[in-house]
Amino acid sequence: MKPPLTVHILTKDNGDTIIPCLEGLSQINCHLLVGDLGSRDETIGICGSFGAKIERLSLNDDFAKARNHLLSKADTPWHLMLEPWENMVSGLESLVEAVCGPPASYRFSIFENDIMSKSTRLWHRSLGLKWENPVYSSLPGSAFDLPVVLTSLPHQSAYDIDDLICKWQDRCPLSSEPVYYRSCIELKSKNWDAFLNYAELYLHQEKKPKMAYIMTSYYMAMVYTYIKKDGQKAVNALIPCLTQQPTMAEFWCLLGDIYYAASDYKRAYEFYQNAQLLGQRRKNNTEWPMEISKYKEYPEKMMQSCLKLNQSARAYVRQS
Amino acid sequence: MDLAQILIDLLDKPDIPRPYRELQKYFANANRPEEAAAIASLLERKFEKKNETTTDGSHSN
Repeated sequence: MKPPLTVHILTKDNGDTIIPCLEGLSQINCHLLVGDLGSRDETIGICGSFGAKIERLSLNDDFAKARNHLLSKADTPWHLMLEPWENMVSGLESLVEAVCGPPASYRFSIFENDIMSKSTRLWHRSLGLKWENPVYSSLPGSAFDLPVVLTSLPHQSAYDIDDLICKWQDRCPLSSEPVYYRSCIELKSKNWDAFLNYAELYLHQEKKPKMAYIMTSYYMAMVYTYIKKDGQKAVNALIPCLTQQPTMAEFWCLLGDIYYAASDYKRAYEFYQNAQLLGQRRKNNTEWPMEISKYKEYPEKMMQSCLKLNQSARAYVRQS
Repeated sequence: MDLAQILIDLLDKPDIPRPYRELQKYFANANRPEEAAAIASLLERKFEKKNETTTDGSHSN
């Protein structure tokens, strides 16, 4: 029976991680289509040994274009995209069921350390979806959740992402998107001042409180809290996050941390408690990232610490 | 009451129900029923709990 599904993987020197990625697909009836962007390691040989069809591609500073080119080479009704460092750890049956069902697009859950994010990875050709974003490719539109779980293995990019973003910025000088990704790169590189500058510029350009806007405000609040030790600026940055997504425990935990750092354990306790109570009401069918420990384990630990420190402070006052 | 004032109140007194009630009203008026319901649930659970244990660990009643 002809496979109904093509799995697309873009590679460049991913010999360290590609084997578990391909092994995870061995139980699915699918075509493997690898777009190789110039591997010099054993990647192509490994993919070939799993029966993959290899297409040699040029990046030309645009991942979305490369992915769309790869997409044009597949003629199955369903498509699935995996990164060469991702491993499908559960949900295989749901995936098989989905490709037997009506045309739709589906999001998978992706775990990287403590962070869970969601991304559209499976879609039907009839929807006509095309990749967008030259650096961090994504598919447009809403999608259903499928209980497929991917884990992301530690990996190093074979590209100078900063350079790709600069070129994107040169091509689209008025777009806020490359500025957002520049801020992310600076944050990842721990260049705190450069991050804050790009983040401010992005918030100024973007204005609409969409997910990237809110998450940038959150990361700014984190930098102000833990690095700059400026509680007031941290609270100001966090306010749009709390008003837009009041059920995200991450935001309440950070507010707790701000007051904890200021030794205001009574208020910190309340905010950690809000993290627990409101976090329980969060819907998990959204694309918003989730720091799992912030929903139970972390606020619980911090509430205990607040109670302890508050009692110690009261005992100290009574003694003196 | 505007949102900025509600949040100032909430940051000032996170241990009393009033700013949460205002926040709940704000979300209800802003046609965000899910957030309003989440705050309503917080109000119920947080301030029922308050009667059992206070922040300093002692029992209030």
